[in-house]
Amino acid sequence: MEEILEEILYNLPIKSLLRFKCVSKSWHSIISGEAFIKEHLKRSIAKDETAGLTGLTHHKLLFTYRYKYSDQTHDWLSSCLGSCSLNCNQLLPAAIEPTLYDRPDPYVGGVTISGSCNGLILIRFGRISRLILWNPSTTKYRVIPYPSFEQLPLSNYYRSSFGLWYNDESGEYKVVCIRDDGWCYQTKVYGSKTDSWTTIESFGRRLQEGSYCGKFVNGRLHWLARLDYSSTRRCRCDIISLDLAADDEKYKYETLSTNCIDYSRGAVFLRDLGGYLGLMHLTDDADVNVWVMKEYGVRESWTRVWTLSDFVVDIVERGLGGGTKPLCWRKNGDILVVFGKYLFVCNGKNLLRKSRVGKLDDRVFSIVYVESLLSPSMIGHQQ
Amino acid sequence: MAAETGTPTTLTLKSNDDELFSVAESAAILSVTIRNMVEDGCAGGVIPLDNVDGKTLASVITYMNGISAIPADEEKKKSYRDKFLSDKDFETLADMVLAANYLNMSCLMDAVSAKIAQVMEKKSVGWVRRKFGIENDYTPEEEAAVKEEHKWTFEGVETDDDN
Repeated sequence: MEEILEEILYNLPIKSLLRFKCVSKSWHSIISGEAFIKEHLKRSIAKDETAGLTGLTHHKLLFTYRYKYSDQTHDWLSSCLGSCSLNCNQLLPAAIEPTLYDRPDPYVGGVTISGSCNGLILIRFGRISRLILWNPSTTKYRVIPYPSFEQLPLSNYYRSSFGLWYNDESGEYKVVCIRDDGWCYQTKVYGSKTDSWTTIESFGRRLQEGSYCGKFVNGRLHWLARLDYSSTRRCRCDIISLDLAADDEKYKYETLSTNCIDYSRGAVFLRDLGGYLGLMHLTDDADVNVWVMKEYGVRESWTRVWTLSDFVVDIVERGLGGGTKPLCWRKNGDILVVFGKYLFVCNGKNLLRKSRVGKLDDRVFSIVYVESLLSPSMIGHQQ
Repeated sequence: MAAETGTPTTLTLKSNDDELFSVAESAAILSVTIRNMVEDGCAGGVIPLDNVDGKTLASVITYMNGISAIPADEEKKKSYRDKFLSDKDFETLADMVLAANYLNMSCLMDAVSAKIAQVMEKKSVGWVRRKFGIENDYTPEEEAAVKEEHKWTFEGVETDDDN
């Protein structure tokens, strides 16, 4: 009987499941069970995989947007978080749902999305150096201790890149922080099992601009790293990948070639396109090309799947090319793209779906996440 | 599988309230339970289905006939399933999910489970307890605590009309 009940419950959205924990103690324990949570996630991903990008019901959009507020003396510009459904009525603007941080506090400052996997999001509050692992679907979150690094002499400016990594089998999460002091790199890994940071070997190459959030694809974290020290955005890059599965902390970096891209013709950004590695090539003539590595690790499988200049509509609305960002790709050729204030689902040169999201603008950082029951607070601990 | 013969084989199914139904073997073997019986050679006479009543079995047979008449086109099969389930009330769906489970018909099981979930999605906790026949085993304090933890999930719940 319990199996039949579980079959039914796998079809429910997170909000209903959380409410139905109130039905009885046995329902509470089914819905809170690790096996149920994993299977629910697996099925949600599988259902949206077969549905194509026009019928996503288990995935949502999460984005940071600019927020202006004033006190007696100043106007402040900060960033906060919004979320919306990807399956909303195309005729109405998408409803933006209130979420963790929708009204910035001057003390806390702006917010950055620093990692995402399996419905868990790594959030960073820059001004107060705080990291939060958050599940927007359940609203639960957990503070992760901020990494501390050796203060280097002659270093007054540094950049940090984060990434969130998950092990399907053990349920353990790890957070990576790569700190670049300009002439020296330090890398640390936080494990949910040990609840502490350890230093690991650094890759030792500068990350390309816009690559400050590691992309979790195929069980590994990825960043775009420069092949030389040229200061322009045009230098050639490789993708570096990091597998954190080893228990002895002998983590290995590997490189994935991106030879398909002509780096002399503009800037390149690494994207997680819903389980596929993607490259967004922003060319000098303000065109955008999206490349997908159709088969993970196979250099020959890089394919150009989308080109902005194929779409002449709404050219005024989209503003500059910077407002175009691919979010998700599927084997049937569907691609989800932020396009100015719009979300487009395209296939080849066809526009399949278009919806307006009021708060999107050309500064947004947006990701697509799957709704899951995974808890940020009990991960990797044996129960 | 049945030997090649000129006429399609017909099976007789018996519900637990002793109703008899004739159904083409080719449709009936959508049920793995029935298929196993046929393959084991137990299908000569009447196949008793002890866990399914006549009303539910009639409905399942309608489904078997309908879906097996559709050629291999997943889109068409899906729209048949949607239409077949669209006018069923909760009690009928609940009987059907039990029957689909007993008869081991995964396509019907998946479709009915999804339909029940769709009906439940915006319902109250009280509605679910009544429909599933579940006794609330929380103390009032425990229930209040669980509710408080997930307070936001109680917004937008439909008022109970028990349909």
